[in-house]
Amino acid sequence: MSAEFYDSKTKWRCGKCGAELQAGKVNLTYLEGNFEVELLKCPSCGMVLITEDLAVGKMLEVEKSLEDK
Amino acid sequence: MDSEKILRIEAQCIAEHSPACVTVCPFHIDVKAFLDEIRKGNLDRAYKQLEKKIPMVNVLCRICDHPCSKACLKSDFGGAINLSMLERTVVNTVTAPKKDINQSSNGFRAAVAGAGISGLCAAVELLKKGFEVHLFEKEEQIGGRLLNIDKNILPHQVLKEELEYVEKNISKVSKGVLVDDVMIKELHSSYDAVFVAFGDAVKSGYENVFYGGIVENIDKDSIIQSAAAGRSGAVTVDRYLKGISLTAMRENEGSYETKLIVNTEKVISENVVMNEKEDYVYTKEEAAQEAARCIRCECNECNRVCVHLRRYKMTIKKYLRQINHNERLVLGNHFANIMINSCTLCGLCQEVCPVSLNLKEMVQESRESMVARKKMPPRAHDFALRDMEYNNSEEFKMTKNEPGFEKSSYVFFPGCQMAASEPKYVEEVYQYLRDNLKGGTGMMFGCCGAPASWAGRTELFNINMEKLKKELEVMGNPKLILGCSTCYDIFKKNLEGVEIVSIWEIFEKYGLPEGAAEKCKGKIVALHDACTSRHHDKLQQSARAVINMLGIEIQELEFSGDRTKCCGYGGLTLYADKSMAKEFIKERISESELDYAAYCFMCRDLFKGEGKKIYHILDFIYGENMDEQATKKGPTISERQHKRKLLKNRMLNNVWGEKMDFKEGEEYKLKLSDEVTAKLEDRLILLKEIVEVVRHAEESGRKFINPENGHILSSLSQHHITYWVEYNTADEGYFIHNAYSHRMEITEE
Repeated sequence: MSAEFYDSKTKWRCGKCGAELQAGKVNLTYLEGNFEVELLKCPSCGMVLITEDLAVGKMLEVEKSLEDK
Repeated sequence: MDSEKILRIEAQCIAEHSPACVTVCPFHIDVKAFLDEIRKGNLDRAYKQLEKKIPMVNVLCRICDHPCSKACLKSDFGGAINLSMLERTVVNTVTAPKKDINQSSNGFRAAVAGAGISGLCAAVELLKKGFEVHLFEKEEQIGGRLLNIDKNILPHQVLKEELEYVEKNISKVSKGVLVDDVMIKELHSSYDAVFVAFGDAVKSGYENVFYGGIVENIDKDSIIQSAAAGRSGAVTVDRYLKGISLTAMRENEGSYETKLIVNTEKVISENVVMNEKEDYVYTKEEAAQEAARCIRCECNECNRVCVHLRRYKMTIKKYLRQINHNERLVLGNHFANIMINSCTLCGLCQEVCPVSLNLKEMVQESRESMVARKKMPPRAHDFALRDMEYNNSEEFKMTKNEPGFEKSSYVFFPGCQMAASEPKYVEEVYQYLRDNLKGGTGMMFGCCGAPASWAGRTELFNINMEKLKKELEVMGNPKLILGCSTCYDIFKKNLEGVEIVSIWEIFEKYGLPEGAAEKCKGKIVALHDACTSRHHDKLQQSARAVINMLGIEIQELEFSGDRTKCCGYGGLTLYADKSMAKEFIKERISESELDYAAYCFMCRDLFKGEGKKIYHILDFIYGENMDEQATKKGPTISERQHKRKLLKNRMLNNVWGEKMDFKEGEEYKLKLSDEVTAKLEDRLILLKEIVEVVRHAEESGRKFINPENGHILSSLSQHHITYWVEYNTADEGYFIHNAYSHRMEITEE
């Protein structure tokens, strides 16, 4: 997963802080996998956005490959 | 997992064995490939198939006695494939220039005594292996028996050319020389090895003198066997001089019996193609026609019946190899996981396998091993296991004696899917049982343990079974009456000493409820047996008896009874790989134009979901609006749980006068389009999981907002899955626009 997997033109804003989301480093883990990726998140509270496209696309692919390791 | 066991079973698969014609031919011509080329009109290529295997091809293919024809399975269907005519046609039509045998020398010198068929073939084979060959013949001409064959079959010119070719290639030919005992003594010391190729020779006892190769007790009159004996003798000589065992791994060198078993049920009878004008050869077209009669012997039974094996292009043998590989793989991707988890464990392949290979057991063991090694992908079964947990929770689990009884003589266990699909029937059947059975009929809700078994969770399965046993014990070990064939199968195999019957046996014995027989009288249906009913004859027979009592006629499907097929749910295939399950469903529902009848609610609901008109037997008995009943979609995964909960609550109220501590979920506050509902079904997301996300978002304020449309997006991790929901508030509830999930966890924000 790399930076290109988030949509920089997202309409979502942080509901708590009202801030526009910005790309930032996020740690993702699953089974024995650990990744640092860039995802959109709230610059103020750090809440991370995972879009449907990412969840059922690239992320699912990585999950499945980790499951088969 | 026991690797040796897998390999032992794998070795029994006959799919890779050659057809009888090939094994009985001592030269093992690839008959299928040969006939394929003829069928396609490629006689040149057909010739190459012969030339590859047969020495002196132009002679032997004209005069071969064709043991292949005697072995041909088409013999019983209009006559064996006429390979004699076909081979003659090919060698007669094709004139291929003969290349000299040009093998680099292996440094050995061999003498061959006798230049008949056997000696000539031995000499040719030795030449190909790089020997310097000295051929001895007592007559003034080489060829032996070949010289006396009818010239219509073997034209003089053909024989002459072939003999000249052999003679030209052989290092030295001595004619008019009788090889007697004295001569043998001489040859044995002056050559590295001697092959004596005449039948009546007296064995000398010299270590380097060989007689007839390893082929013993052959039909001495058979031309092709004599040729094979010569070839085999050459192999012996070669092995002797190379210091290789003279006998090891030679069992299949000459003619042998194949282990292949071919299903000839659908072979049609058609006469052997004849040539009106000629006795010995076909025209090219006739040859193609005759070649097309070949049934291409193979064993493909498991593939014929199983869409899963076909999808993965697996025979049982290949499948077992994959399991073994998957088991032993340390580094790298376990690509076979998805395959192993999407077998329905229905066992049909074993039913049709001529050697009864038990793939189901191996797949089951492989899943158990994956769980034990912590290599089972959580995604495959966790929804089903959570559903099992639900069914064993307070919301559904229930064990009750009949009101007024301390113990039970009978207990009705309807199964989770009857309770989910048609809860009303559970109440009706229970009332029927109370009306008809004496001694107290209890009621039991819960899980039989099938999901745990299918998921390879042996420990969970055993715990569940022990709990059930204890509950039955407390009830006084009543007779179990089952509404589901899967529960029936599980209990029959795991509850020793407990008497187990299906509701169909009860209906058969005590008669139908009033009015039931009038509803569908005269209807004709195709009956789909549940795959878990396989080998449970009584269950299958009683289901049929009840249908007949209803005045409904059954037309049996080709795959029924012990050979029935799975609906795609078995083995939890539906959850591990929905697309695989759909292939099972689609194939099964296309096997008859008739409406189907079933006695498993999962089969019924899955078939209806793909548009097949189908009735459960209980639909015939208790259903209303029959047409609608046979077509309307089954409940969603959320509705299934909800209906179970409502059923328990209702029955506790109505039958036992008890109030369940009933908490209606907040699912009713959600509004969803059909499209979103379908998405949730596909993604195995329950409404109660959505409720939790929304509740958490509203309480914590952790949510994203789309200022353009006011939609809210929020997430919450539940049982190691993160669920995301897009929604907005609607009158007294929430409108759900989307939901998805992932398993990766955000560990640091």
